[in-house]
Parts: sequence; structure tokens; C-alpha cells
Amino acid sequence: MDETRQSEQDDAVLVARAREGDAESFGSLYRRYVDPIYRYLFTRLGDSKEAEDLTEDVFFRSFRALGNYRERGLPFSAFLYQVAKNVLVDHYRQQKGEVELSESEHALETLRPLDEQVIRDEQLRDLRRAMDEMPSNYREVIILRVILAMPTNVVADWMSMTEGATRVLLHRALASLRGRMQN
Amino acid sequence: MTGKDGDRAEILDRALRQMQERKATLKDSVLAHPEAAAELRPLLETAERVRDLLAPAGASPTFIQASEIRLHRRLREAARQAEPRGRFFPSPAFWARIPSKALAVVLLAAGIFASGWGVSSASAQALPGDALYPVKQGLENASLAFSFSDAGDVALLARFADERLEEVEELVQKGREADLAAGLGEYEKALDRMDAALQRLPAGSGSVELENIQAQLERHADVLITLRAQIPLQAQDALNRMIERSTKSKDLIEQLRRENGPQDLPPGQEKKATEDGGTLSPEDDTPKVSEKTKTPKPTDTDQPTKTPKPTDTEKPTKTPKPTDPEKPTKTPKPTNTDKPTKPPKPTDTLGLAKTPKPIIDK
Repeated sequence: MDETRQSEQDDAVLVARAREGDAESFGSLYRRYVDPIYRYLFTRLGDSKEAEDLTEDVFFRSFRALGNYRERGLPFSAFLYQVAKNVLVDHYRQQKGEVELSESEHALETLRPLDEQVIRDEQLRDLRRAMDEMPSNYREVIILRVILAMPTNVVADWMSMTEGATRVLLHRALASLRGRMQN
Repeated sequence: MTGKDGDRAEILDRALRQMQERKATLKDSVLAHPEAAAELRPLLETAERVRDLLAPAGASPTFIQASEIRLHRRLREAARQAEPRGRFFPSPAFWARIPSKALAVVLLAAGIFASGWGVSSASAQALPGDALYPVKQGLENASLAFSFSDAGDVALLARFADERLEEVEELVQKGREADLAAGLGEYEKALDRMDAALQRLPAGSGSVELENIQAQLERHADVLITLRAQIPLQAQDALNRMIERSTKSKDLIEQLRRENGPQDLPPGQEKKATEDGGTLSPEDDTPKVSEKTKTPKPTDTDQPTKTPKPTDTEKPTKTPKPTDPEKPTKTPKPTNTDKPTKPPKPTDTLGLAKTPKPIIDK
């Protein structure tokens, strides 16, 4: 069986048990997804403390909303990412800031200050320049699929594309990035 | 896209996933696909470099461990505090207690009343997507013609926005997901019209009314957040956009109030307390909108003449004790003990102080 499908089936079993109040299943789901959710929030916020606080909120809300969760052909992580997006909207609303929902390319902007302090080599500058020059959909698929390591079906749903088209887009985006970095 | 493109993309995606799941190294992945090795290697190297240079660090193990413990505790606490929701419809036991003849009379009267009311009444219940919905909108527009001021328009349009939101709530409750987009579109249109009317308001008009509408919009956002948890994932972004949209209207009012409202009223000047009917969501147990609107506000007058200050009631009139001035022995306490015991500070009387908002859980 495909490993992704196996993982999704595992999730479904864990979700069903967690719904019934099984603390261990809840813990397994938490430990499986805490890191990706934290990374996603960190790329949007650029602040580790805020990202930690909101990560906890995402899981708190998600597990309280498990009763309403319906498996719709997408992995459980898609549900968590949607809740994370909602948490971000609410966070920005409280901050009276603005949030852009459709595009994650600003992740690079929020990464920059931190990266600037940590890594200042030529390779990083080249990479940033190359990423900036790419079409936005190339940039977005690399951020979601490579940097945030989201599963392909979640990225496809996020970008309103088929999984096949998402894979081809990623292939082209990486080839384009490679070419730009060589130049 | 050719089949070959798809195959190569599939191989790349699978190799990338195995590397991300630490089930294979770059070298393993290339060796597993010798026919595609020449193309696969540079792409995977690029992906690795991007990830190494740009991927944020993961959450710290300390946080992960502590957060899991906190989450268990919070969820247990939430489960314990969860109260049974109020029923919308009375229980069967309630109906059983009503004499059947009395019930029949009531139902008959209701039937006669409903049949006599006609189309306009029926249209009042119409939702987006219903045949009678345009009639309902037409009647609303007609009522606008009887408003002879911009302030009147704003009040009506704010009520229409309320109505649109109630329609969205009803669509969600009825599971009419197909009509949800139309319902949200109507809500957005109502806010657009209200914003346009707000911008026509003459300077200095209706600060109390503006405050009421602002509280109303705050409630809208809470309702939308609650609704968001009840609809499919695919539709949630539309709700998020409406949350942003209602916040935009609220900010516009905030701006108008800043421009129009009194800026430096001294403490002790009280506005008439508003009764906006603002309610909190059932899960939101921290005072927010309604408390804000019920807090004594400054009046629109510039200077107080003889308005008694609330602090006077707190001060002991007899036998003051210098060491414990806050606890009078004989002075009767004010009846409204849950209100602020001291006059609001000048900054708060403007209603601009930001109250920390609790997380709204769904």
C-alpha cells in the first residue's frame, strides 16, 4: 500500500480514538504534526514565541473540534493547516493587522530577518535572488512542498490544483531554480 | 504536459517525500531510479539546499513536551467545564405538560395569522437562493426610502447587515452549503452599503450610534468565527474573508469616532449606557462587547457641571479610617457591585483601550 495512504489510514484510526477521549491517540497526533504546524506558523509570524503560543492554540481548537471533523478525502494535516490558517486570521484580527490568505510567498519575507542574523553567505543571497525572480506559483509550491514539507495532496488542495499538476509544477519550479542559481 | 513529464514529476515527488520522512537519503533515491538519475540528482540537491538554507528550525523539544502536557490539562478542563447547551426547542416533556386543547387553539390562531399576513410575511423568512428572496430585498430597499437622513440610512443598513448575517447562520444551520456563497455575498454587499452611508455622515454625528454599530460588528466577527467551525474546510476561507471584511467596517467606524467624537472628556462625565443587545457566543465567557458598551461612558457635553462622581459613593462618610480607607464600616455599598468601583480613566472613556481578547474555541 502507498505509504501516504497508510499514514492517512493511521491518522483516521487515531482521530477516531481521540474523539472517544483516548489521550494516547491524541498525543500521537499531536507529536506527529506539532513540528509542521509550528514551522508553518513561524514562517508567517517570524517570532518563535508567538508561533509556539499559536501552535498550542491550533491543537487545542482542533481537538475540541474533532466532533465536527469529517474526512473528505484529505489527510488530517489539511484539517490542521486550515485551523492554523483560522488561528492566524484571528491573531491578525486581534493585532489589527492584515493577513493575506491566498498566498504564502511572504513566508520568505518573515524568514529573512532571522536568516540574516544566522547565515550571511553568498549561497543564501543567490538562493534568495533566484527565488525572488521566479514566478509566484513556482515560489509558492517550493515553499509549501519543500520548505514546509507539506504533503503533495495538501499542497494541491491549498493551491486548488490536481496532485498531478502540483507534482509537475514542483518539478518545473525546482528545475527553474536550479537554472537560475547556476546563472 | 506529457506522460513523460508526469512520470518524472512523480519520481521526484516520491524521492522528495522519502527524504523528508527520513526513509531514504539523496543517494538512495538516485540509486533507486538509475534511468532518471541524471535529472533527479540536481533537482534533489536543489531541494535539499533550499530546505537547509530557508526552512525554519522546528519547535524546541522543551516546548513540545510542555505544550503536550498543557494541552491535556486544558482539554480536560474544557471538558469538565462544558455545560449542556440550551435547547432551541422545548423538550417533549414540555409539550406533554401543555393541555392538547390549549395547544390546538394556539396553533389555529398562529395559522390564521400566518395566512393573513401574505407574501410580504413569507418573504421575511426567505433566504438567499429562495424564490421570495428578491421580494424581501425589495421591501428592505423600500423602507430605505422612508429614511430622511444619512444617520437614518446608516441605522437601517446596519440592521440589514444584521439580517444578512442571520440569514448566513440559518443557511449553515440548515446545511444549505450551496447557497452559502450567495449569503456571504449579500452580507458583504450590506456592509459595503453601510460603509458608504457611514462616509456620508456629517462630522460629529451620532457617536453613541456609531459605538453601537461597532459593538454589533464585533459580535458579527464572533458569530462568523463560530460559524466557521461548522462548515466544510473548503468554505472556511470565505468566512475568513468576511471576518476581515467586518473588521474593516469596524475600523472605519473607529476612525470616524476618532475624528468626530470627544477626545478629552474628564472622568465623571457619563454617556447614557447603551443597550446594544450585543451578545457573546456561548463559549465566550469573558466579558467583551456587552461589558464595553455597558461601562459608563462620557456624555457628549464638553464640561460637567454638577455630575456626581462615582467615587463619592465609595468613600466612607463617617469614621474614616486612615489605615484602611477602602473599607467603610457604615456606608451602604452601591447596588451595582459588579461595575467599576472607580471612575473610568480618561483614556478608557474614549473606548479606545484595547481589551485583551480571549481565544474563542470551537
